[in-house]
Amino acid sequence: MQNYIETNHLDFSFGNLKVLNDLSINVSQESIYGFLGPNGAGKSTTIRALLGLYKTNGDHVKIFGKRINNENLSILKRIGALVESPTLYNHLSGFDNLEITRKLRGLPKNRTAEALKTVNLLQDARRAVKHYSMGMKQRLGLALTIISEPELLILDEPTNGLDPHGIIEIRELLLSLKKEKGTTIFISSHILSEIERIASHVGIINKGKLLFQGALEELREIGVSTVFIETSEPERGLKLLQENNFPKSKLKETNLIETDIENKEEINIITRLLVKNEIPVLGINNSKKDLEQLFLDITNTN
Amino acid sequence: MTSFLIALKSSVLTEITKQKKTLALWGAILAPLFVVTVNFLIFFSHPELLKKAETNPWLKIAGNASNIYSILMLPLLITLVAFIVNNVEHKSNGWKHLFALPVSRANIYIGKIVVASGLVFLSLALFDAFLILSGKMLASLHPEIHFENFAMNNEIIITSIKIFLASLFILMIQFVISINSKNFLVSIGIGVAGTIGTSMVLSWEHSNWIPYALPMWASQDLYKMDFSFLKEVILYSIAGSTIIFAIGLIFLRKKNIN
Repeated sequence: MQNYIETNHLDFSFGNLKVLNDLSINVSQESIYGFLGPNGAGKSTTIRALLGLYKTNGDHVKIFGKRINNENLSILKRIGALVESPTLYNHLSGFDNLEITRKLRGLPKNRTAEALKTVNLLQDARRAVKHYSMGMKQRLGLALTIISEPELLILDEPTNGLDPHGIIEIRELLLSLKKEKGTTIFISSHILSEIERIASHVGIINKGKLLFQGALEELREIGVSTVFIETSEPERGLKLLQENNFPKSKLKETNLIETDIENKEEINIITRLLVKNEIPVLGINNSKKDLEQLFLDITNTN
Repeated sequence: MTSFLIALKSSVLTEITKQKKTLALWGAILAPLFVVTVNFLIFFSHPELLKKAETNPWLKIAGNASNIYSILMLPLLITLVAFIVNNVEHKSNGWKHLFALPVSRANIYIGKIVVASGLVFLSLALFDAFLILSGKMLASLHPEIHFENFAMNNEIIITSIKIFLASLFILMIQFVISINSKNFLVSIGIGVAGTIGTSMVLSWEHSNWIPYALPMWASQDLYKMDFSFLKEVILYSIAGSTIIFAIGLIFLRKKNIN
């Protein structure tokens, strides 16, 4: 599969302020890539660089394998993008707003109605956008990006400000685009739980640096687990574990030892160690850090 | 048509859509209506100003109205129009969306300039129409004024086209300021200061070099019955606006879009 988005050691600064630092991301065709990071991490800057809105030098950004430079019309033709809040002319109707983009893209007339239908706004198409609710505006913004049936969708926090119902609607829409049209989607967010439900791949950025990139399962894999061992001889057990490669072990409750493991094989090692030394094991339990915690850990330690 | 022209046509059409229900269109209609109406009321209540047999009454009413229009109303209207066609993007964060579409920045830029200058041209065309109509009304209300001995429709129209060409310099200055600054005070402030300041120094011997004075100088040719287009003010305006156009475009193509 081709890489649809590729940045290669991308740096970007505003004057002396470095906003992107050696950023290398790869988004392969037909993936849904969740681009995660706290506010101010550099997500929107990255998206602007991908679209050529921010000028970058040389070969640092490639879309569909082609480098992005001054005029990227053939590349932009294949992309639908939503950068931060959607661009809507409030004094015009939803229909007119879509018509502006349709005409500029040179698309056939029926695309406007179809895009309105996809985002479920056909009935409100003739109303002025200033009377739209937040969710309707966000959906209209999405209609602007899918009107050209693009191969690549670049969406910057598309669920910003939506209620749970609206979030679910957008999620389902994106999943169906991927399923039915094979659209590749690059979606940024600062909320992991949102990305976790749709993304196949994840990139985590903080302070302009990429801290993790890979399939969602890989992210889950690196989640260090904690094991709780219930025993009637906790002191002896604790000492044994601390002396045998588990120095971080500690007493959690009277009869409960807590220790960190890196993979499941270590549970086996611990059990055998305790049993061999005739320490009664009354129960064993492991809990995985959830992704939310992991995300916080990754973005905080850097 | 080449693909650039097809895209330009779309760009102009979409800019027209965006100007629906905005103040720019109303400005282009009301500004000439206001000036011509006041002008009409002056001559309606003081017909003696037009009664001398040897004076061409058309020249009087057209000269008076053109003078006021080109010194004050037109530069202010241009300031407003240049601000509004760009502000429609500033206030809706439209630039990032437009420039992420497969349309060149030059195309969007030219499309907006075409629509802005179209609105200015429309205002001058309406100015002519209102003026000729007001003259005909004066003729029927004051039959003692001998409008029928003179006809000046073509001369009025030619002078307006000259005023239009002479106003392009102001248009480009205000346009480039407005595309780069979303601050209302900057673009409107410079336009108003330029217009009022210029009107105060019109008698200065070098005032024909001030961009904001050029429409007035073009309007003066009506009194001189000079209908040539090869005039210094017009050539200067076209040259100046071309240079500002180029600078604005080069800057826009290099700009990082927020």
